[in-house]
Amino acid sequence: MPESHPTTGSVPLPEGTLRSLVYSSEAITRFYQEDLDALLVQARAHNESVGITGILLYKNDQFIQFLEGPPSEVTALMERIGQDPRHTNVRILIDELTLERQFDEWTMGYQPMKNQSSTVLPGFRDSFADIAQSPDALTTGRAAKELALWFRVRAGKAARAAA
Amino acid sequence: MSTISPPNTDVVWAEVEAGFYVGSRSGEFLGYVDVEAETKNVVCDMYSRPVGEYASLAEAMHALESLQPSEEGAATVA
Repeated sequence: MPESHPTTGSVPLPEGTLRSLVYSSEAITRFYQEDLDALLVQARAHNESVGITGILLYKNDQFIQFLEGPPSEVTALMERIGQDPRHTNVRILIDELTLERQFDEWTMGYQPMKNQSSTVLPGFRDSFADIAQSPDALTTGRAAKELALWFRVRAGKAARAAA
Repeated sequence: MSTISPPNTDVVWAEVEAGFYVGSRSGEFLGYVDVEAETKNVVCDMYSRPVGEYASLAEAMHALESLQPSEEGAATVA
């Protein structure tokens, strides 16, 4: 039976419609690499079983996660994420329907991101801050694309280095 | 301390992390600069196709801002 989506009410969604969502949250305590590794193992196992793909970004104790998958599964996952005591202030930044995945190769892709040790160069936007603060749809959308591009480039480099 | 700052153009430059900069104009990506070393600034277009390597970030940014799309969709440095 076709699914419906909160933003479209009871209107049935076309077959294969995906919910694409980006949220931010703040870690309750500092996540070290071993904590992230454990989180990724858990997330990838679940996501693979329900057809969800996406990426996780973590910098300065803040998470940004891109999720895409069957709407009902993404909704259920967001409910679980909202109850996870390891983070707080969960905010949905982008929530839309799509027919194509951006991250179909990754059940939960992750590339380490340098912590900001100094301020961003003068005159430059800060993609991570832009998406986290989400001042308007245009800025949030642009920052999301910048972060997705960065992830693809870094993931490609890592794959070539491992080959 | 770097004194690099974007030239006064209609290009929006964003730092995703230190050493990775994305340029866009009117909401469309031009491409990015990946700083692999202080004197190795790799420029790629919006499809991640290599454009060139430059000795400074400023030169690399200028190269990306000068990129002209061709009729085939490929991009060349003007």
